Formats: sequence, structure tokens, C-alpha cells
Amino acid sequence: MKHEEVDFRRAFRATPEHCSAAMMHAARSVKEDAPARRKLPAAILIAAIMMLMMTIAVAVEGWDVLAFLRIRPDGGASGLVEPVTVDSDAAACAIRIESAITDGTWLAFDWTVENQDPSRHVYMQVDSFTGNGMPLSIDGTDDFHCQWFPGWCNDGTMQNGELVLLPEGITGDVLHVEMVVGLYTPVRPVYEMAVFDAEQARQKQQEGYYVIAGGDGFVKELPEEGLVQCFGLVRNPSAEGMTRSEMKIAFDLPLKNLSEPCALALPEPAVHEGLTLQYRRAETTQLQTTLTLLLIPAENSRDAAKYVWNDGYVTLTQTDGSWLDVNVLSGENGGAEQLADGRWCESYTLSFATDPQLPETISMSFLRDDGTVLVCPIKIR
Amino acid sequence: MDKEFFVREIELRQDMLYRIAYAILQNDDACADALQDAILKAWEKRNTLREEQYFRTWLTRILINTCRRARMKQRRFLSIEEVPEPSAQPPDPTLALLLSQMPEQLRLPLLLQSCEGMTYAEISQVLQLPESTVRGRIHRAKLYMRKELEA
Repeated sequence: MKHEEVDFRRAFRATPEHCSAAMMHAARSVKEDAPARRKLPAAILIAAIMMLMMTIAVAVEGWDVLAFLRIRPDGGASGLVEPVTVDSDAAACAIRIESAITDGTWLAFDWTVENQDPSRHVYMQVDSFTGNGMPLSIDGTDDFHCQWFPGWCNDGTMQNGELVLLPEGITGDVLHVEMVVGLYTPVRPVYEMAVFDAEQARQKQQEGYYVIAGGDGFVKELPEEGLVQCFGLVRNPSAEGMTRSEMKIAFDLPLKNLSEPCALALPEPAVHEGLTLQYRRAETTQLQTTLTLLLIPAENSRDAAKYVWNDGYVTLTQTDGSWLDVNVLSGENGGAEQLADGRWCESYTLSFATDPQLPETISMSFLRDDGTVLVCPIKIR
Repeated sequence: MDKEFFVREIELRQDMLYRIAYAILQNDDACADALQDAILKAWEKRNTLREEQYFRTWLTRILINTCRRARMKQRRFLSIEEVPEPSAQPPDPTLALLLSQMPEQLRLPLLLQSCEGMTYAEISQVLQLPESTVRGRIHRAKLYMRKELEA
């Protein structure tokens, strides 16, 4: 049966009477003249803090680093894009990179990874990744690193990209990037289950299968825990019952004539009822702009800081709190901390593509669940 | 938005709202509470909706947030003895079981598309995820279902 034929509504019974009654009672009980909260321009629909690192399991045409970063082809960083066209293959698998970009602080590139023989399961992991000989970190989000192929993408193809913070000390005219991708193939035939089931896994192991579940990790016997699904790196392929082959890719990007990162002027803290917003850091490069905002609750305690997220979330908006069309590349919560003056706060760091079409002044804002928007305007140019 | 429009929209969308709530909470009584709560919240926040054409995505977003909060409370307070009785059987219990076993991050986008006919862009707004992530999750959900149904 194909999924297209499935009527998913059949998985639900008709709306029970008491649910229907609850809905209609609530809807009819509302008062026309009840005060509405502060008027906001569709704030509820604002795309919240989102990690860009999306993965597409079906190859699409025109996938390149700009598509991965969601930078408009006429955006500020597009002039830095270098076509790299790197291909490598082994064990019926291939990795392809079309283009890459660096501003001297960040490196980004697209990738398409494919297992051309989906009947043969291969575990891929990045065994080595360097820039000018210095180790780089895979971003680890929706990645081919530590994934089975085909795994969850049945046709064996994944498309995504990497956005990597370059280590300090990378110098020279050229950034030389090298990556070694290990391909680990089980010796025994593979039995793949969609969801890990210990009992079934044990039975299949006894039948001589190498069991995998959900496209991630390994099914292993652990002392005191029995058969479990583990996630991580293959360190000793022969002990794991696997053979290893590898794909190597390398490309160069110019580091000459790049602008230095520019620190932006930090505005005065924005004091709102119950919460003060204050920038800690603001920096822009040709590729991306990074802002770190402190959220300082009026009630000065660690818990008040820690639970600030119970009331809302941080995102970028216009200075009046309205929606801003911006390519958020990453968002990270820094955790509760105590400032030198004794106040407790939470921090949040947002990175977004540097884009000359953005307004000169924007805001990293706290959107409360009640619909209010606490703004903290900052000039980004 | 006036009350007449609001009541009419809720009435029209009852089944959709129930399915979404049930997909998250898996319990009718919890659904009834969450649905009521979400509708009252929606009315209170009605001025945040600028264009009525977005009512469906806007309300769905409020409902999903409400259900997720309700579920957190369920997890915190439910002991094993208090686990609710399962609801009456749906028309296709096997499909219901498969859906309930699917991770929520795949299940919700799949339902919003397959049952509720939302576009990728609408689901992206409702779930506050990039559209490409929504596409990826729906693709994964369909592969998951296909595998399970074929098995």
C-alpha cells in the first residue's frame, strides 16, 4: 500500500460529543466587548527561533550554498560564493559539493550525499574535517554524519549543508578544507526496523542479522541494560562487525580581501515591565550577523532567569515588534548566569545572514505568550 | 474579527481541531480541556490576527501550543494508576496505532498536510519551522508509514 492511498482521517474517530460541546461552549461564551490584549501585527505567526540546518531527503535542482543558507542570490554575501564542484565516491556512496563560502569567520558549503545502492546499508561518519590543518566541527544538525544510508531517506539521498565557525588563528591567503568521510558497512545482512524494539532486535540478531533502527545508531548489548539502541561514532569497525572504506574531499577558498568582523555599537538596555533586555555582543561579517541578548528578570533569582522561557521566546522583529523577514541561521540559549553586578539573567545568541536589504535598525525581541512584544532595537549597519 | 465569525469558524473546524489535539494528547478528556482553553485564548488574542484568511493557521498554532503545555502537565502529574482508559476505536485502529507510534515531530506535519490539507508554507508557520524542514519531516513520515504499512 502506498501512503498516497492512505486516508489518515480513518486513524481518528469522529469528534466525541463532549469535545465538540466543550469547543462550542467556549466559542459561544466569549464576550464581544472583552478587552483584547495589545494589538500586534500577526505576531503569533512570526517564524520563531529556527535552526536553518534543514535536510532534504530528495535531491532538488539548483541546491547550492546560497539555497542552504537561504541567502537571496542578490544578497550581500553572494559575491563571496565560490564554485567548488567536489565529488568523491566509495562503497557505492558519493558526496558532492557545488559551492562554498567563507568570510574568514564562518565557512559554509552545500552537500549532497547519496548511497547509489540502497539495498546495501552504509553508516557514514566524518572521521576527519580540517581547515588549513586545524580541526573543524561538523555542525551536527540534520547531518549525514553518523547516519545510516539509506536509513530514514529510503532513496539513499540527503541534501543539506554545513555552517562552521572557523577556529581563531586560521590565516593565509587560502582556506584549504579537507574532509574524510568513513563508510562503515556491516558484514552481516542488515535487518532494518523503523522503531527500535528490543525483543524483535534480539530475535533478528539470533537469526544472524545486523540490526539497525530508525536510520540512526547501533543496536548493542550493554551490561545491565540489555539490548539498546546507541548513538555515536564507530571507533573499531572490526569489533563492530563492519568493514571500512572512505571518501575524501578537499577544496580551497580565498581568504584574501575579506573584511574584518565589525563590532556593532551596543544600545542602552531596554527596560520593560518585569524584564530588561540588554545586548552583550553584536558583531557582523560579510556572511552573517550575530547578536547576544541578555534577558534580565526584575525578580532577581536564578529560577526567575531560568524560567524566563516559560513566558515566551526570542526572535528578530522590526523595531515596532512587527514581523521581520530575515534568514535566521542559528539560535542558542546560553543558560542562566549571574552578572558581575549580582543580577541573574539568561542569554540568547542569534545569527542571521547579513543582508543589505534588512532595515538599518532591527530588534532582538522577546515575544511573550500573551502576545506582547518586548523590543530592544539595535543598529546593524 | 467579530463573535459571529469566530463561532462559525470554530464550528466548521471542530473535527480538524479535535484531530490535532488528539494527535498530541492521545486522550479525549485532555483534548476537551485543551480545546476549550485554546479557543478562549484565541478569542483573547484575536487582535493579533490581522487578516482573517489566516484564521486556520493562527488557531492551529495556538491549539498546538496549548496542547503541548497540557501534555507537560499530564506528564508531571499522571501516575501509572491514573493512566486514562483508551478512547473508543477509530475506523482504522491499525493506522491509529501506527500514527501514535510515530514521533510527534513527524506525525504533526504529516497530519496537517494529509488530513487538514495545509500547504508546506502553512505548516511552516504553524509549527514555526523552516519550510524545507517541514518538507523533510513529511517525507520522513511518509517513508515511515510506507515501511510500517508494507510490513
